[in-house]
Parts: sequence; C-alpha cells; structure tokens
Amino acid sequence: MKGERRGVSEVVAALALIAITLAAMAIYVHGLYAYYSGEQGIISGLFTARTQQILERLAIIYVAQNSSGLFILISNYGPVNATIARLLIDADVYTSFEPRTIPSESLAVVHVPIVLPSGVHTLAIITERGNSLSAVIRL
Amino acid sequence: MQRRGIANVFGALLFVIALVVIISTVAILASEYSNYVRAVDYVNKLEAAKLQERLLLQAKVDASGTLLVNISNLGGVTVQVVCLAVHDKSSSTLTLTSEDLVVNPGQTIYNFNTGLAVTPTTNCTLLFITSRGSSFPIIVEGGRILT
Repeated sequence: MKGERRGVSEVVAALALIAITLAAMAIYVHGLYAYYSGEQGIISGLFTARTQQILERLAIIYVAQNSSGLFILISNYGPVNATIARLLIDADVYTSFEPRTIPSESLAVVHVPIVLPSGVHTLAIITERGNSLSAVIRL
Repeated sequence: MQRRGIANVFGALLFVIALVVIISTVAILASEYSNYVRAVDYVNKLEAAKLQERLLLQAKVDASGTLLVNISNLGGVTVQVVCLAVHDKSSSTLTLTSEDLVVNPGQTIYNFNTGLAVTPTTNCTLLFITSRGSSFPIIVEGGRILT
C-alpha cells in the first residue's frame, strides 16, 4: 500500500509540474503574442489608456476667419497622435464636425465651414481620449 | 490516507498556480504603473519647459521693405521655432511656413528674414510657433509694427 501510494504521488507531482510549466508557458506565450499583435490585456489596457490620455498634448494657437469659415491652428506637441472628436462653439456642439487626427509633434489647420459674427466666442475641442481644450477668441 | 495524499498534491498545485498568477499580475501591474509614472514625469517636464519658453522679438523693416526680426531667447530652455504662421488680414489668408530655428538660452538670432513685404497697407499677424506649442506674435497694422 505504501509503495503504491508513493508511486501515485510521484506521477501526480510530475503531472502537476507539467501543468504548472504549461500554464506558465501559456502566460508568457500569450504575453508575447499580445505584444507582437498590438493587443492588450485588461490591466494593461486600463493603464495604457490613462497613460495615452496624459501624453496627449494639444494647444489652440490661433483662429482666423474668412468668408469660407473658421481656420483653427492647432499644435499637437505631445508624443502621441491626437484625434479631435468634437468641436463646441459657444458651448454648442458643432454637429457637422468630422473627426480629425493630428500627428504627434505637428501643426494642423482645422477648417470649419461656419462664419461667426464679430465679437467674442468660445471654442472647445474634445479628443477621442476625453481630453478637452478651450480658447476664447475675438473675431 | 489516500485523500490526505491527494489533498497535499492539490494544495501544492493550487499554491504554485496562485503564486504564478499573482506574481504575473503584480509584474504586469508594476510594469504598467511604471509606464504611467514615466508618462506623468515626461509631461510634467514638457509643461515646465513650455512655461520657461520666452522669446523677445524685435522687428524692423529693411531698405527693401522686408520684415526682419531679431529673436532673443530670454528663457531658461532651448527653443525650437518650427513654424512661422502669417495671417494676412487684408486677403484673409493663413500661411504656414516650416522653420527649423534653434535658439539657445541667452542667444540672439539677428535679422531673421520673414520674407514678408511691409507696406503702409499691410495688416497681418505673424506667429513664431515653437515645438512645445507656444507662439510668439508680431502684429503689423497699417505698416506699423507692434510686438
């Protein structure tokens, strides 16, 4: 009986070791696969989203207007690309706005085909990552 | 006796699996948190440097009527001018010209040629835009230079 039990224990222990090794290997293989395919796990995704949001840096440099509409000069001085998802003019969402991606460390002129009356206005932009930026302009 | 033996094995197995899972999770958390902290540090340094950017622009018109600018860096960080934006208010056009002008702290670049012809009817705004998203304006109204 004693010898029988010891034999079973050794087999189970060996199986357990194999299982552990396979599990550990699966974790590493999955990690490597995720890394090379650009996917993210849940924990990694949560942190990465917040990190990317912090790294997103935009500045409204200048706003000009002519008969064809507004021209908003925007600088993306951060290390990540930024996509402007929404534009608000005087606190109203400009519904015809098409999302616009500004590559990192570059300038872009965003044309908005709307002519505003002379005076002071507030422009606000909201990015896909949830950052917002506003500027008070005088036309 | 048989059950106790199996329980030991299962116990050890669960312990090791739990250990692997916890260590893996903690390793991922530590790695991601480290990336997050590095990002925050990077952005803090970037914004601090942006606040220290300070250019003094002294503009004049040469004999041919072209606008020349002396650019002095009065701030504590090196400034890279990446773009010159000109808003011509007479024609309502906004023109961007790429530049690669590096001005070190305390340095002055003399007679930078903007290529802008100034006449008594010129109404425009020039912006020197830096790599950190700051802008420094020169306003020309009716041929008069306001900086």
